[in-house]
Amino acid sequence: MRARLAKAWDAAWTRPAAPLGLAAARTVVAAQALWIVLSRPDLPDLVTWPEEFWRFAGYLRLLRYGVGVFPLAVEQALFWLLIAALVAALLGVWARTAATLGAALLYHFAPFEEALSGNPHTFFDGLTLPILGLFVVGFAEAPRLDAPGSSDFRWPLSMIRLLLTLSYFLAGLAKLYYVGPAWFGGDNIRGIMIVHYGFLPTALAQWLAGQPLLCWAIGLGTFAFEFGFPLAVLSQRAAWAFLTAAALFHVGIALSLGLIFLTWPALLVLLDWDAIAAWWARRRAVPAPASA
Amino acid sequence: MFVALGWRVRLAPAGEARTRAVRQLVVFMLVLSAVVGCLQWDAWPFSPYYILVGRANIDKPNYMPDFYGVDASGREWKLDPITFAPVYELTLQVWFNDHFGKLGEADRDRVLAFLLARAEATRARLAAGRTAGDERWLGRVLAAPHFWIPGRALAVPDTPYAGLRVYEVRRVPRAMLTDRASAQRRLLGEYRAR
Repeated sequence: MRARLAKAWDAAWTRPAAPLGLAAARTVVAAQALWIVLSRPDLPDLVTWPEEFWRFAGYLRLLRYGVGVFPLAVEQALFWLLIAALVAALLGVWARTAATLGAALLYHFAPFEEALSGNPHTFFDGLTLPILGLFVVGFAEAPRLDAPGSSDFRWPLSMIRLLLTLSYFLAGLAKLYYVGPAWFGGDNIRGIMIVHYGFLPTALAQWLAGQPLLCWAIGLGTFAFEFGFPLAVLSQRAAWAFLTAAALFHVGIALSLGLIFLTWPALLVLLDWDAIAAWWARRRAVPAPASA
Repeated sequence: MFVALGWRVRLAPAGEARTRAVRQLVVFMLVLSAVVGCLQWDAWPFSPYYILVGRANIDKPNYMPDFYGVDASGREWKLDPITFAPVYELTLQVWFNDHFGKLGEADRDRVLAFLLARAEATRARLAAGRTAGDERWLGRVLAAPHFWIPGRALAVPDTPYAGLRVYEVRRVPRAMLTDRASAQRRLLGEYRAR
């Protein structure tokens, strides 16, 4: 078993991959970041909010992200530069430079809103994975789509997959840290449904609160899902399974708790890009039918 | 450190040297993630991802502020969640819970005056049938952390807001399951336009 895992781990980083996977990962993380950034057109304006709002945000924390360092005009220029960098990364134009620049600017802008409340944890806003993913793209080769397979295209895709799967694994670890295994019990799942129902009354939350067995299934399923997710890095079969589970997970959370985790587009990196590349190559290689 | 190790990969010649550099980057990421996860440190963007981590207590009251615009006739209008964009309603609610009470009266007035001005600017755009706040560029396909936001019903008065009220709403989850009217509210702050 250990030998199999070691072999799978090694293959995850060194087995030659088609360039399409890396190009797709770049496109996905850039598109996700761009979608979120374009959904916050007034983000630079936060520097004009009254001092009273920023008084409790922590000076060192703000300095760490460069929040409040620049005047509004500079922030607006940087914001447009961020959009340009993300578009360039999305289109593969000067891909590595654009990705690195985009990641650096996202590091500055992503914490803006939550920093106001003194809580710069923007995992909820969906920009954490794109920042790391874009840095990884910046470290990697910029492939031509017709290039032969190479391990240089494997490790960046695997790294982005690892970062994605770790976000779920660490979320599970946090639950164990703060509550313990009881978090995954049926009573707690039922309680979560009821607490959220108080804010947003969804029919699904109300119904689930009355189904103790289902609540247990959800809790235990969440445990298996979050702690098993890193297996998706080692096996494409596991990647398919967890991609499907993640889709159901997020749809269920949206319909019951009303919450959307904006990282969901990144799940596309789990597709079998080697198989897609091979299918596309076969399609292009099929000779045109002879004319009559 | 992450960026430095990543640049080592980029600069390493193809072959064994690059494989070694990649391995070191992966090990660094795993070790940092393990430290962040086990100790719950904030090394963002290496985050511990503590999302929904609390133990749900359906008998414990929770308190969240709600924001209302007040028109000239005194009628209250629940403010749209994108009113204070780029700050989402939830972030502002957390800020109010944690910090509003620490402010002196003059500072509170400045805060509420600013929020009233933002509310009025949003109201004017929505009343004119235009998009506002985070929806200005992407409309209903914006990336919103709550699925109901793009499809929500918009209700704003045609006349300007004359004031702003912030209520602290107390909800006991168990009671809310059967009686939504059981929520109780108390006025946290009020500001009238001058």
